[in-house]
Amino acid sequence: MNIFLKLLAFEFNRFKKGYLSLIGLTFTIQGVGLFFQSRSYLSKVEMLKEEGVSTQGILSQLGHFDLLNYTYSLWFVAPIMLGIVALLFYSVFIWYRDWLGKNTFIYRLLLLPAKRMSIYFAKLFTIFLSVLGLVSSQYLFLHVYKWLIPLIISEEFTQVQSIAQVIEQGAFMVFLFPKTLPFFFFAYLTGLMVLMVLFTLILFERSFHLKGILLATGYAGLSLFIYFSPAIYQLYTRIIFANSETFLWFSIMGIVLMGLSILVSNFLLTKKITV
Amino acid sequence: MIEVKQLKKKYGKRHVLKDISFQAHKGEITCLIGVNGVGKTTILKGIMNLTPLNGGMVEIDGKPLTSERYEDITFIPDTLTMMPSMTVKQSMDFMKDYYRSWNPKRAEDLLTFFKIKKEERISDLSKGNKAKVNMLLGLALDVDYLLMDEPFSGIDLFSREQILSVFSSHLVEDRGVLLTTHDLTDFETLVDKVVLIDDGQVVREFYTEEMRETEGKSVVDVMREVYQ
Amino acid sequence: MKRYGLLLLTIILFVSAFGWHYFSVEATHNQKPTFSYVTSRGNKEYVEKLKLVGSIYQPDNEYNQTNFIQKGEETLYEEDFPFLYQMDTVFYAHPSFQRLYENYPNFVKRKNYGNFLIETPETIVEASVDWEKQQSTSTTIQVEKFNKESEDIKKYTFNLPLDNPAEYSYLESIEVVENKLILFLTHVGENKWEDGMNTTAVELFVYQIDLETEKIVSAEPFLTQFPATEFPAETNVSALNSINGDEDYKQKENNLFLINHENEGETLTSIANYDSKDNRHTILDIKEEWIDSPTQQIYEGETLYLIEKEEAGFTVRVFNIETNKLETTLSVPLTAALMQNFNGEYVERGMRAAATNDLLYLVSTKSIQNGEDVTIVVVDLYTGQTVYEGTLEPDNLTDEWKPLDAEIQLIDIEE
Repeated sequence: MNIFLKLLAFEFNRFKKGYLSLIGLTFTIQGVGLFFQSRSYLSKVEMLKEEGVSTQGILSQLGHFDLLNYTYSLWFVAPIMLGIVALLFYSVFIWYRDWLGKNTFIYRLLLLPAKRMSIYFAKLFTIFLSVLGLVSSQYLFLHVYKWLIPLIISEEFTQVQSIAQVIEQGAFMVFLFPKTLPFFFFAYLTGLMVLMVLFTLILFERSFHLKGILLATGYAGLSLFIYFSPAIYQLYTRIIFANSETFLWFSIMGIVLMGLSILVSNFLLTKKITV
Repeated sequence: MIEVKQLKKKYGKRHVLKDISFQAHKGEITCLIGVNGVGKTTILKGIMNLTPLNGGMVEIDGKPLTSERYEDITFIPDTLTMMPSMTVKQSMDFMKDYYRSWNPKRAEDLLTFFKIKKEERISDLSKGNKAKVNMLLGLALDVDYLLMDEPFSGIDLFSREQILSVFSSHLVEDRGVLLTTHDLTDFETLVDKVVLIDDGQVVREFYTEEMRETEGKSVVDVMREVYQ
Repeated sequence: MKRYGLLLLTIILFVSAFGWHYFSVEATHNQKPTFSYVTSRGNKEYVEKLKLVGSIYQPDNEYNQTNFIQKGEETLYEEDFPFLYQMDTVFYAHPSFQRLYENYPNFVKRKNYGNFLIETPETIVEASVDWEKQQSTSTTIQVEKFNKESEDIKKYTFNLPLDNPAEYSYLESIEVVENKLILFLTHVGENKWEDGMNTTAVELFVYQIDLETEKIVSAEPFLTQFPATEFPAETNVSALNSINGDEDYKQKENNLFLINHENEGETLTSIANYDSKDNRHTILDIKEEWIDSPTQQIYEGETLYLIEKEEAGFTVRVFNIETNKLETTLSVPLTAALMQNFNGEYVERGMRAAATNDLLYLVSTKSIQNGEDVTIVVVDLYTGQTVYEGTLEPDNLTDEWKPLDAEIQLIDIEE
């Protein structure tokens, strides 16, 4: 446990630069975007005002400038996409960086006097906590934008929305903040499960190389089959599941896959891994 | 005692290790010798569970080797195992952090002995100094057994001499050393025991002193017999 | 400790951000808005009699019916991807199904998504075509009746005779009127022509089954000889709402069905009336353009109201079902600004309508999601005059109010 915590902090700090730049980049791009978008909106409003269009008329043409609308602009969405792509990339790179290059750090990690799964979990939670950190900072940024908009746009051209409403209806938001707390746990644990499967696939490749890619493909297929077996069953029998059943089924399948991934990863790391 | 029993290893259809058995004792320097590609490194990796074996087992003092026992045995591969971005100090701190058996005093002694600056980044080190840091990180652990893979390969003469002097110093005494090499020049006298490997098998296993006394042959003489 | 700094900071950030969010969501979860309106005398009155039903975001017809639960696969699940439909952002089963499941799990559990379920105050009735027993001369229907109070389940099998040989039969709609089950089925067969051409023959039949005597009371062709040359030609039949939700369960003379027939890219829409008392059915003499979207169709008793949205106001066509004639066309002029409130993302979703006491109520639903006042227009159906035009103010809307939770149904409004 002790070594795991140390390793987790170690891995997390290794990603520090990437993690902090992602947060910084998100805020910068979204902030700059907010500035440009609101400026272009205001200049359009001025143009229409000069033409003698009434406030009502301007609103019917341009609509309000509000946080909800802003979440649909590319300025807002692009950093989120970037974050997703970057974290996906790092989920793979976090393993390969220890094998690649002249100095093979994986030797050191594998020779640590602790269970080898500590390495796996340290890397896993590094990614997972980075995701949570990024999403949480996005939540704080939303509050900042909400506070900023009325300072830039005059009252009649904007509307106050609650953050809950923006999250409910905004672009991408429902994926980052699932509707309810139980669903939040469900969604993020499912994400963790996907990450665990991905790590297992990487370990297959690291253990068996070319043959490993084949085995990894097989494992990926098996995982998909296990996870979606309730849906396959549903398609086959045409039975409707109530929400609670759907929830239960996918929770069970998720737990099964997590367990399986841990077992397989442990086996690969302790018995099959090659440096 | 490190006891290696009937190790087997296949790469595809090629049997790299057919049946390797030998012992390495505490307080002795055991040398695995063989031409390049004979599987010496694979044996060390196999012992440390860094590559899967197709058969056989390894026991340390009569017990199977698990990762918890990496406090008692360590492996110094022929590449540096720290990240290039780290400094020598950071590398030492890392080891101190994770190994109870880390001996800070010995680490400092080694640092002075090798004349390496703590503040230097690993990526800036010369090849010889990298090898020395590598040696340092392993030797500063209070372990019973040290496995070294080609400790002298590709380094300059002076570094080689420095590292060689380590073997005759108090830094190694009482510990069991198992090392691999394909070139025994300069340190034949240091080696207590030799295991000659060819075609995936142990062809000869002998104590150097015994060999000199009973048959009047040096290790190189025996190597000639075997490999020519 | 220094090394754990960033890690701890991240955990604190995550716990506080998500805690803040979900705490505010949970705290306002059960908070539903009440509505008030300002009378012509200037008094603010709280509305209790006014109820609008249905999710404001998706006020499509399937939601706002109290007597209707599941309208076949086309409205509940995509046939081939039931799971993906559920995955789609909401991840939840159809709310009406969910409600049934929670109340009557013993019956609703393990129901197939292709089947029809219909709820009355005392029972839930399920009907499905038994594909395995399909014959060219008869179609087998499996029916299950669930008694809500005793939780008894009664099972029936009916063999419906076919006039013309059919290869497939599809259930289009079911209704329960007292103890009678009314089934609408399309039979799909083949016409073989002399020149070797085959065309699809589609017939829409209506069957009336007495569930007490277990006898088929009537079997009537409803529409025959569809202009179908290609298979599959799509026919969707959906029941129209009558206004007085609770009254629906009583003997209902007129049952209106909207029939959409799609063939080779063309859609023919018609409204049919099935008089369940004397088994009479009529295709109403309604012009295609009257029911082109965006319109809302509602009916009460003998009167069908077809409400069409215009640039500046509404056109309301009052159609008499009994005489099968258009009675009158009313024009309700409203300012373009006011009309804005009735334009939702989808035109038909921007409003609700109800008629009672010779008054027609038009309620905009679009503005609710923005937390704005709800526009309400009341029209006198005799004179066509707008007697009331004002706003309903969602009263306890807070900053964190979640509009999706609102459920309102327009039933009645008193002076």
